[in-house]
Amino acid sequence: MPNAVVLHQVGGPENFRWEPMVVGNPGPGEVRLRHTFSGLNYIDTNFRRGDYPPGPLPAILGREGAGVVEAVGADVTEVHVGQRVAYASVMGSYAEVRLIQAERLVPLPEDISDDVAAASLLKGMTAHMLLARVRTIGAGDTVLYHAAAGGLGLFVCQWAKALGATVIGTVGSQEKSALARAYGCDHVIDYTHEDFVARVKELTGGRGVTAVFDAVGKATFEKSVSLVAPFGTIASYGAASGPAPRDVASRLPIDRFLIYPTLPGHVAGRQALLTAANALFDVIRRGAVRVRIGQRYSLKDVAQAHRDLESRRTVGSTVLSVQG
Amino acid sequence: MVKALRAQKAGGVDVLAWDDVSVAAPAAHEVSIRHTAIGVNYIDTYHRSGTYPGTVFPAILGVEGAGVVEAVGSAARTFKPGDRVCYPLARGAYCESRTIAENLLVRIPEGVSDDEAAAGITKGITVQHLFNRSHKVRPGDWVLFHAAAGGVGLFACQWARHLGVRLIGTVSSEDKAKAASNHGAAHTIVYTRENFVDRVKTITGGSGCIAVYDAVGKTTVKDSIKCVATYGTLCTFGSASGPSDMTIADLPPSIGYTKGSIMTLIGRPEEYRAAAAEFFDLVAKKIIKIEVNHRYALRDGAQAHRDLEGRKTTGSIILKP
Repeated sequence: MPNAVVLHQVGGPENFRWEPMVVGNPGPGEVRLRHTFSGLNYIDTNFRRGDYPPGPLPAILGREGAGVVEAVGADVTEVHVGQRVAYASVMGSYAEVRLIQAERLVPLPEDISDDVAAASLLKGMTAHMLLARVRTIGAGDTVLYHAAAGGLGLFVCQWAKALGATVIGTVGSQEKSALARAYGCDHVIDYTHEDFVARVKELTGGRGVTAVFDAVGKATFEKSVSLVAPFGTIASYGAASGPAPRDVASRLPIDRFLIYPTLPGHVAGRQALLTAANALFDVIRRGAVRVRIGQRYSLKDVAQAHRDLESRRTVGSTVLSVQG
Repeated sequence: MVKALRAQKAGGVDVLAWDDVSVAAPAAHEVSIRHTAIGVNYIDTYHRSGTYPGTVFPAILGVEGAGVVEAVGSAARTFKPGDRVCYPLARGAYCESRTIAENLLVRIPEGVSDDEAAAGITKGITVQHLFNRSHKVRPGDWVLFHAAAGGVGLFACQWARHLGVRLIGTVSSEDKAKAASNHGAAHTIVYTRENFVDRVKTITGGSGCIAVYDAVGKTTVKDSIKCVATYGTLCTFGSASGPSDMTIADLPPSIGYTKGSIMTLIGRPEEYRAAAAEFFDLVAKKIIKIEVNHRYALRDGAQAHRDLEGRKTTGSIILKP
């Protein structure tokens, strides 16, 4: 019987249990998938703590995975048995085997390995959402990215740079500053030493930036709003420091764009999903976006992975390997 | 000295008085103009009654006008005496002559009358701004526009038709529905007897509108949000008073929100004049018709206010000095 990491109640990482799990046969439109890797994302810790509802308990967390199709149900046309696939933004990847809707699976090209897919699909398609959907970023634009050395930050900053934008990143330490610089940032602000508002104003000659991408939330959001140039965009899509205030809409300055984008909205529908995934594979293939896998854990050690992620000891992407 | 219609204090139409006022010589970046036509907008009645704050009495009302350049300041380079010009959103229009910052003025091209310019400039660049900067509309797009039979609304209907944009307009009566349709609205919703959220869903096959333009405010914004397609834009925009004071407390996921205001545009002279030129081009080609249905002598402005507040007017009103 395959195993899975099961969360019986929300709270600390100690609540994860490695348990055998019955996985049935795929129903119509479904696939049984054997994971090779699961991705780890900061949002997983939000679900584990209960910041976001994880669904009925016990629950299997994890929103990103790669593997091989083991069996297909009726009416499945998107993938076939034996095919390498990956997915993001579908709960339940902390498992050796799972069932999943076939329409949510992205076929993997030969030159994209399973671990790279599990390390990149969620963050990479989120980067695509920010840079192509929330705002079309291009040459001449200036982008401010908070937590530029974080897992998602490395994707967004490199990709924005490849699109021709000037990228300003904020980080919380000297080591992270070097990392952010190596992964796309033109300017890095260590907010533990500098006032990022004053620095961004200085760097933009007082004009502000084309877009602020803020997954930090509460601690930075109001300041971020003040740094957006006329006709610029402020996107809030995470809550590392607590949720961003939702009533900012009331106080938004004129001719700025505010959005709380979500990846499920961006990749709703087969075509939108494949467009985002293929755009990501393309920038990886060209070397414009390098996928840094900073940590590897065995899936059953996910509790340790959560602890390291929450204590800021991780760098880049983390994958959880699944031995059959 | 020139004549001006001034509100002596906040109040009804009887506070308007036909006064002598002096006109300052233009400073370095200013221009003095002699008005040929002055637009009357509903906002003027709010300035008169004191509903909107910020009016210093005695106050020359009016926010848009057209005229001829008489003199230019030492550093003014764009215009020369004799040029036909107009402006939006500059208080102090109900007078024979005034001095004004050169950057606020735009040229009136051949094929557009002074009356049309005075009645249309504010609404025209507002729609240009909404359709280009607040959300760039494309042929085939579904958009929702509230108060589609109002002054800005009828321009939006005509502009949308010209662009191939499918505009759904909300209106308060059957007559207004007919007016919006005649001006190019693809669909109209009489919101007094129909639920506009349900109707928009039906009309768009469930997808909603890629842009929703809402200058109505508190009573509509929460329902307007429900009409926006995923990754579409809700745009609230204010009247001639400037920035919108309409708010939403809570923005749902994956919906863009912006407060459109031509104040930003006016701060950028090149973009501002390009927007005005685009609008006037459509007016000269008769793609957008400015219906100046009521003309009063400037000194009879009180009657214009009475008729406007009594809902006896349709289309645009101008005052003639």
